[in-house]
Amino acid sequence: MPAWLPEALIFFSLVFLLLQESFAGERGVTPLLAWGAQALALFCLPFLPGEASLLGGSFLLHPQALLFKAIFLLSALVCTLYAVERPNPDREGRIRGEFLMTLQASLLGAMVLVSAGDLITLLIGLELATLPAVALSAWARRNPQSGEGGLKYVLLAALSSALLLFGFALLIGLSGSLALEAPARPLPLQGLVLALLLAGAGFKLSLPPFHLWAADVYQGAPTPVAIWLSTASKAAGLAFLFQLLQGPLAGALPDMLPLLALLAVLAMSLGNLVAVLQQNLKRFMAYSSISQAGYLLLGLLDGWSDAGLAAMLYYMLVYVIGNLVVFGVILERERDCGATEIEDFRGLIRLRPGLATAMLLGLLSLAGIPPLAGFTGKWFLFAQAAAGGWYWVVLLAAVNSTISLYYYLRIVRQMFIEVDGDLPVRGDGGTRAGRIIAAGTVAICLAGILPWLYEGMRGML
Amino acid sequence: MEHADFALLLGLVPLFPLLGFLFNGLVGRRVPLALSGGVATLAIGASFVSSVLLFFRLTELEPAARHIVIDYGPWLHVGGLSLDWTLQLDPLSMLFALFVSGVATLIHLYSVGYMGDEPSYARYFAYLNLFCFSMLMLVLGGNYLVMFLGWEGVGLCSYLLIGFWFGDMEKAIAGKKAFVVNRIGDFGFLVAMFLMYAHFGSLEYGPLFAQFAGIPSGDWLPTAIALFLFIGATGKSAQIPLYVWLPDAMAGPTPVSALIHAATMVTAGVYMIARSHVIYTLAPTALAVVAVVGALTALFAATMGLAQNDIKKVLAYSTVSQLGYMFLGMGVGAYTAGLFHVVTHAFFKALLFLGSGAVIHAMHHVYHEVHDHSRDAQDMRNMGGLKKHLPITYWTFAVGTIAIAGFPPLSGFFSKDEILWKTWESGHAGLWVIGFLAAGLTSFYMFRLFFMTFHGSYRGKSGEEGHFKENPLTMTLPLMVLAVLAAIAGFWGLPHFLDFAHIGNRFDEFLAPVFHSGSDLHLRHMTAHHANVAMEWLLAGCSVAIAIVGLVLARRFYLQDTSLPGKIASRWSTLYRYVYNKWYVDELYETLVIRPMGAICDFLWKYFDMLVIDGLVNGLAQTCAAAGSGIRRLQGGSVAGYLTTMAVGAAALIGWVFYF
Repeated sequence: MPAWLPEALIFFSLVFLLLQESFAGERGVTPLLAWGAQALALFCLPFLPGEASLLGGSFLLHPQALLFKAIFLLSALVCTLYAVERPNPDREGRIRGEFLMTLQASLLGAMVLVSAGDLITLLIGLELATLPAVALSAWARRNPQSGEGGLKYVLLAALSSALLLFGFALLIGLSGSLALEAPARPLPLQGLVLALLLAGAGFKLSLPPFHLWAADVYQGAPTPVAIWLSTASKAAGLAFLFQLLQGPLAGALPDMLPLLALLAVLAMSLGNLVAVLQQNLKRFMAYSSISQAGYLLLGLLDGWSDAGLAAMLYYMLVYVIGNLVVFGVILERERDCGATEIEDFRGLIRLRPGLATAMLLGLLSLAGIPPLAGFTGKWFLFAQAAAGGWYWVVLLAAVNSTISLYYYLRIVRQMFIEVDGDLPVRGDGGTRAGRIIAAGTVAICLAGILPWLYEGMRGML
Repeated sequence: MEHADFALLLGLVPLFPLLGFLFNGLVGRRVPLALSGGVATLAIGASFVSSVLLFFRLTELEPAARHIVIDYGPWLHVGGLSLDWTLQLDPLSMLFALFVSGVATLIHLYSVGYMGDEPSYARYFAYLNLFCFSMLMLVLGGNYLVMFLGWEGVGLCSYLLIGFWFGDMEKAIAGKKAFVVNRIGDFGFLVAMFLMYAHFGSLEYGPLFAQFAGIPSGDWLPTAIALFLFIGATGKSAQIPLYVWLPDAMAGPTPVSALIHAATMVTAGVYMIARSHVIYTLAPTALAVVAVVGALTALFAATMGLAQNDIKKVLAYSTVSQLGYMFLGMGVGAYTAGLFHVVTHAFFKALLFLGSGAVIHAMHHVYHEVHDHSRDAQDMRNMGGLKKHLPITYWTFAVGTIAIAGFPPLSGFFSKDEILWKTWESGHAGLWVIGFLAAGLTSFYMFRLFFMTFHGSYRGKSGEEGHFKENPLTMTLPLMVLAVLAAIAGFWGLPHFLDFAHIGNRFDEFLAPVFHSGSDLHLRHMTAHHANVAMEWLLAGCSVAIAIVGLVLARRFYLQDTSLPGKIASRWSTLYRYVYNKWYVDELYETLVIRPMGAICDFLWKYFDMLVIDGLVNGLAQTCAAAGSGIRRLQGGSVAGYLTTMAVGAAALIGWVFYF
């Protein structure tokens, strides 16, 4: 199978969606065009060549890129399926073609990003992944918060792009090469380049102090978009960091470790402490995802190794599935009662026991409770940090895990304990999203106890 | 895999009950009763059939080749620890698999009738199947951890089934007591496993036992391991000092008492010692401890059985006492003799329990008919003369009673006598005397029970007798099968001095490959010469004589002159009070262990838990919230603020990189 097939599928689906939207008018588009292409692309991944180089080395295929693409496609597929249920995210009746098309564009950007073989392709991929996501976050035109979030996102993304571009320009100018590889000799001002690129990656990964956009954007954006931002977009940030660490920053990692450790601790602590106080679940999940990004960085603290890479990718996957489940429940609840405050989850076990159970398992997995997948993932990450000798970081990460349990359980308490008195609206429920949530919940439970998922990833790399 | 042909069949043995458990546990409530009970019984029946097929396959092999270890895949591989799902098939595990699945099948069948009126029918059968799965894993496991998995599994099921009617506080407490006491024993088992792993790096039987070859007899390591394992065994198999849970365990449904608390689970400790015989043989001190504890338990429990009025309590103390015999056999190195008693005891004790269950069921039926629920259906003082109402129960119960009392040629005689003979032969005359006295007491309390229940005249209200009716076939059929087995099982292990037809001791021969692989010291025991035939005859004669004494005394006390027991009780009132109150052991434990423990817990709760722990947790939570609200102010919502923060952040990064 040709190495470019998944990207081609997504690209043609994008074009067809655009054409159909232009000519179909009021009848709307066929969502199958979007999710069918995503599902087909996901299905193709195992049959692609393990290593390939196209376009004179600008587009590379390797196992790490394949794993990232699987994560992107999985989360795009789930987002699309969530989004095409009624009422749709902008609450204006039928789903609009532009929405699906924009999502496909962001997906395509993320897929190009992981396969980029030179600096220009990398930058194009990153921007193609980010800009449609900005548009998507402002999608709900009737909701002022959505517009506010979108505006903040675009301004902050512009600053982040400026920093990145400055870094890239310096790099290209000083080394005279577009190649995605470590400079042959030490560059003057290499530290400046490093700091600027790291700031750019930190923005995508929502690491403090570049995290401020996350809360406002997550809260304002239509929920399927918040899902996309918290899963695929975050994974793209990690992929971008990997590209840098394997490319221009290769060899700089040992010097960066104290900085990464500091960023990790900052992200975990800040995300956790602020999450404790949140009342809105989407905002709450934004802070949760900030702290999760902090845990992810622990995988780098033993230097660049296959074990660390596998641990981070495994955790990324587990985190994505956990978020897909939790956000799926939030979305269902939003359809039922039109709001996403924690208060609206009161007594959910009485109202929608299936949803409440899925939410419980999803949250516990995010908190890292055995035997769920989140625990196994955290365990691998902590082990990496400990192997690198960063015991104080592991200790703080463990303390942070405990704090995170506290705020995840706040929601569980609402759902399972506060069941007396007037309960919120039940809603009629029962969209097809329930099946995806159920499948995700099962995956969380199984991935924690079946060792071959992690072993398989590690074997691939 | 070397024995791929065995793998499937061996795997099926525990798999069937597991599937039965899943069925009854998941959908049992929603299917008709007949299907629920039928699936459970079929599951364990299929397991029994697989065991029988395995038995034929195994006996086709050369005796030396009857040792099959099959690895079903990895379980735990962490650091240096690697444990697999291994099952081991050899004559020892085969023996246990056969009688466990066989007796369990009969008891499942019996339960179909006995539990017919029970609302939680499916829950009962789910537990029962889970128990069978755990027990089979325990005996078939190829390493100590699989054994421990089964060990804990049977403990859990025992707890769940003792407290099956948890609405009754007393029964729930009995379940809790069984669980807690067993945990004390499990602690010993765990320590033994830690020791083995620390010193040998493996828990698989084969590699582990091979490493014991170089250790001298009497070394501290095998002694320590053997003693810790034995602590585990005293818990599970109700030996002094941890026997106290078993009499209370009679709160569970009677078929459960028969299966778990008489025939199978409580013999797990005996199995464990037989399985670890390589270790025990190297630890003479530990063996002596086992023998002494076993003999004392046999006697001590028999005395407590003398004055009980609850029919199941008598049988419970009798079980403790008989288990003592098994450990006595283990302790004097007569492993096969002990195991033989395990098998015969499984048959006759299951029979006796099921028989008592039939009696209780019939009594309940009568009380139900006359609308009187004030009386205790298990109290023998309310029974009497049931012979003519429950003929099948009566005759099968008679077989069980004669078997346990040790009359030839029923099975109990052969197995008990072999243990006593081996005790004498290995030079433990003192222990023989204890075992001999206990045999007399056994005969006495069993015939006391028998006469009080079935003979004499009915001691209930007049007019009730017409309501008695014999139990359904699902209940009487298992009784009849078990009665036949209890009667004839003894001939499997015929002692050579009674072996006129030169059949040989088939039981010994079957198990020989297991124990012959042991050290030389053990071989000496196995091949001990049987020169002293006259002595064997004499001792066997003594056993029979004291059994007859027990029978005659019981007949005199409880049939001919029923005022005698009262007179004796008032003559030796202190002694009677001690026996009646089971030597006040429960009260002793209460004062010595439970109350001080309660006081310590109370102290820790009030001063450590509530002050220190709760204070820490609440303090931490408040600190988090305070810190969070502080940090939250950084995010005011203004874009200019955000941009500034990012720019400052980037500047800080650059600063860091240049500074460090």
